[in-house]
Amino acid sequence: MSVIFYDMYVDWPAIEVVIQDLTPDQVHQTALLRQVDELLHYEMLTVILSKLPEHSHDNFLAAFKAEPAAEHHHQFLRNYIPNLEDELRMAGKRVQDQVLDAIQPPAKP
Amino acid sequence: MSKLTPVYRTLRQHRNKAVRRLHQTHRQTHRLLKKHGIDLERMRDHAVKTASFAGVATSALVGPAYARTLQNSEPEHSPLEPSAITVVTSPQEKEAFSELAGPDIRLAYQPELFSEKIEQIVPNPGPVLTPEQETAVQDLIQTTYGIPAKAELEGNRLNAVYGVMAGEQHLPVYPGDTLANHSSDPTKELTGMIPQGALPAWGYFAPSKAAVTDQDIQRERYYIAAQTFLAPGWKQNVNRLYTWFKYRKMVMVNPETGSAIVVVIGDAGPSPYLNRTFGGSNEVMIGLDLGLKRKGAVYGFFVDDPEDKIPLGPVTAGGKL
Repeated sequence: MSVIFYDMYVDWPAIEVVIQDLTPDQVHQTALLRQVDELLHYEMLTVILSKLPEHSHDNFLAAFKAEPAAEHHHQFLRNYIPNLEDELRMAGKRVQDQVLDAIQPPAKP
Repeated sequence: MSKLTPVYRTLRQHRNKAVRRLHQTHRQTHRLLKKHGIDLERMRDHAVKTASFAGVATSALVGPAYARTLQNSEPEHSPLEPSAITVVTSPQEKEAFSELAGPDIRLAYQPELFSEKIEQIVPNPGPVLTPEQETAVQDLIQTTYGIPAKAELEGNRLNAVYGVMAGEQHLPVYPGDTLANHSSDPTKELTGMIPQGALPAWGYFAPSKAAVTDQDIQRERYYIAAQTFLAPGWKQNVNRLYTWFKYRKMVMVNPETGSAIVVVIGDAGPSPYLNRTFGGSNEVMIGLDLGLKRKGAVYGFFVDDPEDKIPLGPVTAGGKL
């Protein structure tokens, strides 16, 4: 199961591979992964709270705190965000792109 | 510099931008996260502890591999209690990139910080601060809210950076505008609108109803009145300063609660005989936690935002009536 219900929208193994390729030092790996992790939480919550009506923010955050991994968040959110999976997948992709941007910055013309 | 340093720095920049985006898009997020005891920077730790508490095996967890190691440390509290979020970041991990740690952007959303520090910086506040105090307050606003604040901008300043603000009436956005159109204000009936035919210092925000933009609506919603006519150099430079002050962006802070709001100067006033320095729309007063009191001391600084990127509205989760 996912540690957090939106983990499934990010290819964590792929991110870990590129970070492990950068450094064998586990302390550095963890510090970098934490930045990615925080980026993910902020990206995902921005997407979710943007689509979810304000009157439901309170309910969602209470349930999210109690059970970060719960599948039922998908069901709850789908009531308001029909294309939830697409939205979260795009947010996950944005995070992965930002990781790649940090590791392999675009070459200057 | 290690080859990892630029990677870490870029990731941190992306993460900081995401923090700003979340808080600027959803003004109430900070209050709600705090209410539910959610710290997004420790969300992973909390989630792992919660899964562990529920009896989920480490090997079954999908997520970053480092998260699995978090499960080995015992939670200090039941993961279902609000205080369950435990910090498990190792000292080595914190030091790994300490050279780049810099100010933590989370501080930009801790209004308590302002209330705590302001009394030390300005023990006896008055309309004018010493240059040292001005600099310290500017820095404090920057650190607390992430907003570049200036007592003097482009050589211009108001007569005061501190004073009493009282609630003002709504302003007509366009000719023929009525109170009913000001739907964002739950208390609009209490204060009403300035009399028909009366105009704010810079006239209507838009020449007609058809020409109204979202920016015009936001400017009326978050306007203050400032005593521009008492600004240094006003008599010598009326035309230039009249134009310069028009819709000039400012940040106002309630030192008692730390609530802050970004506003524009939308009117000139109040009269110097009223023993106040600023006036504020209902939305501004509510954003500063002065909604029902209708009066209170505030700090006001210009926002140095040449590219107009900082949105108007509450910076903090204030909003108590």
